Amino acid sequence: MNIPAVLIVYSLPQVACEELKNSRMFMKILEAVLRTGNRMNVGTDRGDAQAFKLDTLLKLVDIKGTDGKTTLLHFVVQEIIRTECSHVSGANNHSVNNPQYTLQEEVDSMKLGLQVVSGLSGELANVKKAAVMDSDALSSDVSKLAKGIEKVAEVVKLNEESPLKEANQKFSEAMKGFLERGEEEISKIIAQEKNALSSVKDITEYFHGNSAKEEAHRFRIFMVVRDFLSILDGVCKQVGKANERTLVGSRQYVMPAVTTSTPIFPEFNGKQPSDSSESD
Amino acid sequence: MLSIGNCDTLGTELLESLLKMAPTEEEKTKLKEFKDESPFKLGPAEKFLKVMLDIPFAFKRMDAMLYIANFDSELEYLKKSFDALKVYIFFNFFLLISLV
Repeated sequence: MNIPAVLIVYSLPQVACEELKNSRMFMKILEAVLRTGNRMNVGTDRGDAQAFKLDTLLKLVDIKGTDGKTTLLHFVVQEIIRTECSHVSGANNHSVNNPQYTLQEEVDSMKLGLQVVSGLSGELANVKKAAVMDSDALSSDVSKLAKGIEKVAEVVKLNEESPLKEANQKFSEAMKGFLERGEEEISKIIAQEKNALSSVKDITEYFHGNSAKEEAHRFRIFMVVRDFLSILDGVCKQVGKANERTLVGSRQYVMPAVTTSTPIFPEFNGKQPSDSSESD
Repeated sequence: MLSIGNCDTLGTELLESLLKMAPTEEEKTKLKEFKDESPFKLGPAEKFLKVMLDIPFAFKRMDAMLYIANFDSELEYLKKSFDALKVYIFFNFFLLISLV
């Protein structure tokens, strides 16, 4: 597979981008969700695998556990919050499954979990804001701005030709001063626009192959991602609420939603491969 | 102010409403032909327009000034939008690459 230009364009400096750096928890959850999705895809035909995998993301909410209520996505989100929070609160290296894990620690880690979940919604909001951005409208704004500067150029030209040129010198100077700066800024923003749009093209072609050439497919991957994000947002909120209820009930007795005696997702109940190294 | 070309002193709102007053070609000719000794008197708005017509290409100037006055905020908005789009594209890329 060819390395798309987007890989080069968005190499290290962009990876360090603040917004993403601050989304550690979000990336954790995403990673876990994707890993689960990948497990579901094992053994599927590689032919249209990428496109199929994208749709699997959306299917994660359709798969329900043995209790008939908990979806696979709920389960993954809940699990990752529990593991993460036991890392944060686990100054004594207690893990969730440790029998020594006390009631107080359980309550503390759940409170932390709630904070994390509420932060998550904010992070998702930023991504979603960009997701609904209309690139056509942006392009038309850019060309409007670029066209508008002709008005300034025209006025400067009229001034030069005017018999009252001397009297208008101040006006002329002000306009000329702007013209130089404005033209420079406009070529910069046009370059930025081209850069963004060609990345959209690259990324679509990379994941959709030749079908990306059909206009209908162009933004499909972005739509799947957008839909998935709103589903994930909803699930995180629900898990947060469920944790809150458990917290209220936990004054007498702690029974976290997921650690029931019969596993809700037997086939997924094993530890996540990369987590096992961190959580022991 | 029109002769100096200082866009900030007039403000975008005033420039916008002045531009809305721009007379048509027909109105321009009529205003130019108008003589002070005429039995009909001009209202304050018409008087103002007549003065404006004495400034060379006044409305073209105003249009250019309005553009300049809005330029920075428009540019800022576009820059921010493309920055956000860049983050979003990278985010998508990260997400999609994890799937492959």
